[in-house]
Amino acid sequence: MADMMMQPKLDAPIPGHSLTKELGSRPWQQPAQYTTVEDALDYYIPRLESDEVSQQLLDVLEMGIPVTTVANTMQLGSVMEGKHSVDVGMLILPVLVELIMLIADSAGVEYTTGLEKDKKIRGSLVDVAVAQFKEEQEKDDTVDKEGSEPMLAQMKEEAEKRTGLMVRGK
Amino acid sequence: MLTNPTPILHQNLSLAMKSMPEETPMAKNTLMGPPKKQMTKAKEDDILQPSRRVASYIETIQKKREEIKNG
Repeated sequence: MADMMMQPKLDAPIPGHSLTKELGSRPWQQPAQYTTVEDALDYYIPRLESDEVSQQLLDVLEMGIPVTTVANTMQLGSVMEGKHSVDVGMLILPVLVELIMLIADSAGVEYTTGLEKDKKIRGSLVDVAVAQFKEEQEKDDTVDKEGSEPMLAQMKEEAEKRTGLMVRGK
Repeated sequence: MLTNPTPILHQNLSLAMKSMPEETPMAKNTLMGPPKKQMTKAKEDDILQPSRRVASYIETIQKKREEIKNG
């Protein structure tokens, strides 16, 4: 974790990058296409109900990706395309979550909601977590063994070298 | 850093929906009753709130989900 924090982020945009294009040249810098919650939902609902999208959506949910992540990605993509504003996106997020869950329920697909209160964790996710934990534990054990033995020998040597009035009697 | 506000939004809205007072039928022809005009205006304003509209949509979808779950 600490190593990850120390690594420089080379793929991040340089400061001022957003100012290198003319203002209004990006879709999100234009007035939003759908300005109300109803308009935005009218855009989303037929898309979610279409066979192509719903099948892909169910595949994604079956892979264990949380509903909240899928909903957020969808609305963020639409904001970038200039379909609706960020505000409308925030308002429709809970509706999108419920809609996706409705589609999954009607298809009989098991899914992870991604909500904090949701205590139910899928078996496959538990298996992945257990495998990761075991790997980390094994790594820690090897590091401890390698690191502790030379240290003990060094301490013994130092203890034997000590001389003077205050040295403990053997 | 918060990258996905969806769980927070969903929980806040659910809490607000739960804490919403239930509508009780009021006697219309009483002297001590609240003035009719003000009540209707306040209610209309409330319905116009986007968050209230979103809550009503969520309620509808949740009912549908319950129907599917219960068969």
